[in-house]
Amino acid sequence: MEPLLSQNLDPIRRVFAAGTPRPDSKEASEAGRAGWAMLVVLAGMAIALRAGDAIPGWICGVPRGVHVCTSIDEAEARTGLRLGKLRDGLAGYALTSDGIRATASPVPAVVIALRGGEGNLTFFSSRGAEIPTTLRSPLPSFHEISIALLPGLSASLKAERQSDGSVWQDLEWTDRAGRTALRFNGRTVELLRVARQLVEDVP
Amino acid sequence: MGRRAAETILHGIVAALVVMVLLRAGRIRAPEIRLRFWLLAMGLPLFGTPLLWLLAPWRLGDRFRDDWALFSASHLSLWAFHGVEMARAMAWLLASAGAALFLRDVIPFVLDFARARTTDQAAATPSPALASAAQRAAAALGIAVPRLVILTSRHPILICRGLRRPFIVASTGLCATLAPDELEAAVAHEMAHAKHRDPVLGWGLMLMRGLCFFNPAVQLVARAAVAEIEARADHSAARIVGSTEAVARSLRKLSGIDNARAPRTWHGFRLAAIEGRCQALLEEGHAAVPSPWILPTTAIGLGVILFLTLA
Repeated sequence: MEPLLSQNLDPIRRVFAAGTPRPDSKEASEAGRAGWAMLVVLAGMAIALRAGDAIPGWICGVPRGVHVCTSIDEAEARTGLRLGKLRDGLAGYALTSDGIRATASPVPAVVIALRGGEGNLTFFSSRGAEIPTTLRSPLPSFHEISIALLPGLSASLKAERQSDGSVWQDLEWTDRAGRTALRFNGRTVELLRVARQLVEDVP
Repeated sequence: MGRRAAETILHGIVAALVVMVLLRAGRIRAPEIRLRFWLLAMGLPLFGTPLLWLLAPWRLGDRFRDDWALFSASHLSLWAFHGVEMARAMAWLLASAGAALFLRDVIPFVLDFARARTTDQAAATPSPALASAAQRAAAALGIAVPRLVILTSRHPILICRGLRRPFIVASTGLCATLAPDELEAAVAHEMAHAKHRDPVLGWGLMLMRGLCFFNPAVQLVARAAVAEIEARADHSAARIVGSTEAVARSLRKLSGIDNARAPRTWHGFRLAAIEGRCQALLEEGHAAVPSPWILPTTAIGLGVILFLTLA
């Protein structure tokens, strides 16, 4: 007697059994249509999914791979960067809502937007030698000098022009933690004050 | 809602959409083959997705999402309304729809089963016309004549039941309702169910639906699979009796389409589906048979797409 399990699996086996009749030459072109349809449908689905994935970022202006973090803790968890000193803002500049963005590739990096009495300040930090362009879009610079932030730690200070014509200053340096940059639309002396406070806090 | 449950829903929707469009675009009409495709669309989210979690847990990491994924629902988290993420709200909405669809079908299924247990005892002997129709259909299908259970009722009843050994339940009112050729067709339809052991398949589908009760795509795909099981039995019956008209007429009479009113009710939709089945049977022309490699290739292609699709 055939076992019960085997009997009850029969219909399922039959469904998957290779019992499909072979198409003759007359039906071949129509049967081939299914093959083309399969390729087109699968490719179409892949494209649709990719487009669906890109739409929210495109609408909200967030490039693919960049995450909008709800807290400094989340940004730290995503990137492995130590950002505790920014938890309550930075040197008198407060965090803005939706102002923390992080990426894991090509190198873990974070950008934090801050606002204070002297202007808008953007903090960039990367564990690599460069800050990914998905976080910091390159701007045309028209003046560049080298400044010593601390003995043995020099930074490059650039004046850059935004698309709206406003002039921002970009201060950038490399230390043991990686690459750090500050972009500021206020006075240079204020930018240097913030930067020095930042590097002096590093243990 | 858990990210894994959301991923199962997402994979179910993707698989169902691919199969639905492929069946239309490829003009795949043979119910046997369509059934295999629907079962693939059901099986991938149910078994393939947990296999992906098991074999490739690193898929769920940020790196894979950002660099490799075709789609990651976590990217939808940019959209929020009053602090509620749209992706989360959508997942809950879909899960509620899935549960509603499951309950809509499982309650009648269980009630029907409970009722059947009390009525599946023979109350009368089969009429000669029914017995000979059963014999002819069984001979044509190459199976032994299953047990015929005859109920004393003036309503026409004809169902195939039984998990281990399928049997046919018919009522005394059946022969009075159907013309001889319609009776032959209806009996052949149920015999085809018995040959393919469709009651087991029906229970298997309901079990799969229960496992994925929150997944609306699985619920709808299971319904489509049931429709193909019925269409397969229709085609078998038409081949046995040599007439699609007789099968369509018997279907219409047994479902009571001729007397039906209120087509906007749920029952009305069911009747509309049966009428659609009849039309498809009557208009059946030349059906292309796709190459046998289409199904495995689709399974592989869909598997790759689902691998790259994350909640």
